[in-house]
Amino acid sequence: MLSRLKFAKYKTKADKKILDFISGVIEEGHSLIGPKAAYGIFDVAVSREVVRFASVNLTIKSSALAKRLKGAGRAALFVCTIGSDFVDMVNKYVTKGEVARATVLDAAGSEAVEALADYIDGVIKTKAKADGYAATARFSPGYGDWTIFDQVKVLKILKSGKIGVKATKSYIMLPEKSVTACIGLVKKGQRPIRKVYEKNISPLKK
Amino acid sequence: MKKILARLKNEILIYDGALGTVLQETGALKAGACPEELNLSRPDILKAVHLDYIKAGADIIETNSFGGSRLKLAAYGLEKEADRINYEAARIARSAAAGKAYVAGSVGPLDRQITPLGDLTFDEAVKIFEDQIRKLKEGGCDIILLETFADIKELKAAFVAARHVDRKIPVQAQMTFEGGERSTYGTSPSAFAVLFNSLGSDIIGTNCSTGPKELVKVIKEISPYTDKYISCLPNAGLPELRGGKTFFPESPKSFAKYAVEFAGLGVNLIGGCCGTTPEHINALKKILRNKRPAKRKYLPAFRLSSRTKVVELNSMTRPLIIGERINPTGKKELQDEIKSGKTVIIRREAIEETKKGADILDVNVGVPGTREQETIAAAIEAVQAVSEAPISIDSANTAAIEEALKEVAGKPLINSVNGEKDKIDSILPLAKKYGAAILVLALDKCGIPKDAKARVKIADYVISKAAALGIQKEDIIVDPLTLAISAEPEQTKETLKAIKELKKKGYSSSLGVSNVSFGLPNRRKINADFFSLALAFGLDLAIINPSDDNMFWVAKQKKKRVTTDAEINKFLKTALNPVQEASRKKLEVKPGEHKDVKTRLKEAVLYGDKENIVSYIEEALLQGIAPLEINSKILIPSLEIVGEKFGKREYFLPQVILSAEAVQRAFGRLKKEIKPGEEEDKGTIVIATVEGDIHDIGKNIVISVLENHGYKILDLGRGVPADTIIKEAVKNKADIIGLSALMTTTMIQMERVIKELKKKGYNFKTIVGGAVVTEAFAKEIGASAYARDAIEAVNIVKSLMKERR
Repeated sequence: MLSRLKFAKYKTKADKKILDFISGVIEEGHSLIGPKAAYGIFDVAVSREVVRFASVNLTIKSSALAKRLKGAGRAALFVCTIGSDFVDMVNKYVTKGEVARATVLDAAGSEAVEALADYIDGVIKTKAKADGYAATARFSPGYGDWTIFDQVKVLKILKSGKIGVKATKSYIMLPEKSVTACIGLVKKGQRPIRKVYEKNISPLKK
Repeated sequence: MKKILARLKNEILIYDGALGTVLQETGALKAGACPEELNLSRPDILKAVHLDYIKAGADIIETNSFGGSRLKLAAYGLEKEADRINYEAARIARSAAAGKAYVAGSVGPLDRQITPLGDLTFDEAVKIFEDQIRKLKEGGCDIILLETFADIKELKAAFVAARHVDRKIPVQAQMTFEGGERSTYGTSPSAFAVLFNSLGSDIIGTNCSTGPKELVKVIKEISPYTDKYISCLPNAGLPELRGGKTFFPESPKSFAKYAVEFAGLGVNLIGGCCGTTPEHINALKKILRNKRPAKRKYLPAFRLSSRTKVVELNSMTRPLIIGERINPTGKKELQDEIKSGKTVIIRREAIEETKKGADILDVNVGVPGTREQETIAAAIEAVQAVSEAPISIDSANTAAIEEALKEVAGKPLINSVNGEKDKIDSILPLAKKYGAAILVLALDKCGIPKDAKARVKIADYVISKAAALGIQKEDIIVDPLTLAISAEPEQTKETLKAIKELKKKGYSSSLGVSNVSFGLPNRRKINADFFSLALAFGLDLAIINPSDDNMFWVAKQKKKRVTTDAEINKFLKTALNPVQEASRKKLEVKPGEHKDVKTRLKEAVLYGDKENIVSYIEEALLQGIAPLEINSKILIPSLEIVGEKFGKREYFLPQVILSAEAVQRAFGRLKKEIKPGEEEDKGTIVIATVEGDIHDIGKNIVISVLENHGYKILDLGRGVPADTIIKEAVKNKADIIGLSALMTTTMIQMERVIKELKKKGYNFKTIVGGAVVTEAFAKEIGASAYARDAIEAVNIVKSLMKERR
């Protein structure tokens, strides 16, 4: 949270007043959070650059995602949000000219939605474990070569309207404090052995 | 055969063991196939397994219907067969039992969560469970076994469904707890026991989990909170993978050892879950032969629960505090919020009340012109999301009360019922159905009786009606009503006497304490005095404003007071003839008053002291310092120090913005002193978040910093199209156009603006910024400059302005 506000651990000197101010805003933030999430688990076919969710007719072209999902027979897609009350309040403070409060609250919101994403991540991992799957680290549209344009498709599959999340024409999620992500689920004992050195070794052989 | 509940009075009954793991071993159940489908295709195998368990000594066998709900069968495309699958499950078990064993209709979770955890409504869940349970009963079950639930609200739905099907059929409700402590969704064994004891579940218990050892903890925690029979069906330990096969560590012998411990704790039904076999059950049977369950101690008390926590009224906790703040009466802001369907204030109040120490939160959202059924459910969902305190449902609308009862994930209090017939007829059955406690107001259709005796009589009447429905005495709280002493001082005596009277009869009492001071000055003092008097008379609960620290002080202090008429008169006299307290104003000395005003102004900027900076400006002006001097010699240099500190990372973002806000306020005051024309024209900047983007916090930070450096800023807001930006820049003779974007999908709009400017031949300077924008991108699209943050923007704007002029 503090690092989002450009706090440097050993350099920044924050007095008690400012820290009290921040904890007050965080506390206010608690009452603005209305967490909601939706997820689905699908069978996937992963090739080098493409991940295919056949049952929902979704094809994602992203080698970054494909790499993370290597060996996965299933994948979970999820969307979570802390709701619109939070964002509304941030905007209200901006309008009132209380930019400092808005900035800190906004950072708290980003932190909250990340924490929520971690929590959902955990729920999916626990469920996967019970079904005999191991989960990979989560990955979101807009990172690496996974285009943010796919976000809309993910939202549609998860019927995100039900939890009040939609995307604008410019692919921004509303409410803004929302996260979509994909987690690969690998059947235990089937995870491929990583061949890290392959590329480095082969030229030497030649 | 004797009825199952009758036998439990003197015996420990043995349940069978696992079905799924045994079926897998027979080879009849393929991996990934639907276990319940075997009811249709392999009844012979199922019957054989049932018979094995009966032979091993099981008194009760479970039907093969754990995953038999329509929702779960749908995963195998079998939802249309749901009725037949469940009916056959019971038939097969029935024919195996053949008068030698009882048949328990097994019902498991739906695998789709109820709101707010999922999207299934409570009513939908009840309907699905009801369909399954009806078929199990038709097939011939003796008891309905709701097992392995992790969400208490879902279990409540299943329980309500079972009662819908048949009010008399015995129900056994079981949850599973991780590590023996909490269910996946946070419910503790005690919170579970309190709700299901109140719902009237015939048997309360636990199954599955990691093994018998953890369940010992669970049973110990459940036991003090229920006088119902207790069941315990553990796994044979935590499964391990050995040689490619699932292996359960507890052998029949070690497993049976725990059974003796369970019997010693007073468990009435013992059996097995995952990994147990007929051998395990046989070992149980042998070791428990002729054993009777130990007697348990159960002390009835007023108890409520939330999803996670139990609140109990006892000598340690008395008085319990009910927080009254979630109530729109006289609160315009909250009324508006309820009308708009939001819950921000409600959540804030819930957090605040809980923090202050309220034990129970009263939720009232009665606003004329709103659909209370919907608003109360939303309010309760919001409160439960932020507070562990149990809920008091405060409504005059029966339909709203029922919706609220469905929403609550624990045992709530219904506030309230009174002596009127229609209230009794509508609300008491709801309390019984959903396992709620009730608050009885001692009034009826004739109003509030004048004396204590008549009030107690109304309470007696309502309580007898409740008892007839099976509601326990300890689940009833009586409110003998507080009246305003300004109107009827004599009534205070009757209220207090009624409390004493009620206590004698073994009833607990509650009061809305602050009503007493209505219409009087010095309310807080009167409230506190009356509260302490009421406590002395024996008050158990109080509905108060938890922000009033006075009240908590009174509650904690438990001052000994005599309960005589003289004492009451003394209270009335002080309350009604208040000695006007001399208004003593303390001479306040602001910190730092001794420093000279220039230093204080500088510090106000450095520390972002928005509150005091304007008064320092006033002081400086009074001392004759010229406005422009204040600006250029004090404020701006101080701001520059802030910028430097930020550069060195000694300051972080909130400090910079607070300083900027403080200076803005200072300028606001100074502007009144500066004559037009006297102010130096430093240049004009038009600034906007580009089309398609909605983020403008960063942009606003930049604006507040730039404004403080004397630039004229025109803020066009967010999502502004290129045309508008250019038009406004021309119109306002801007020097610089500032563009902000946060997203890769929107920053391309910056390029459009700049291209358009070139096309039209305008030579405005352009500066771009925002999370994803980089120096390279700025160059690529031909922007004049890129600024990483607001402080950098100040320096860049300075040099761009130089180039312009």
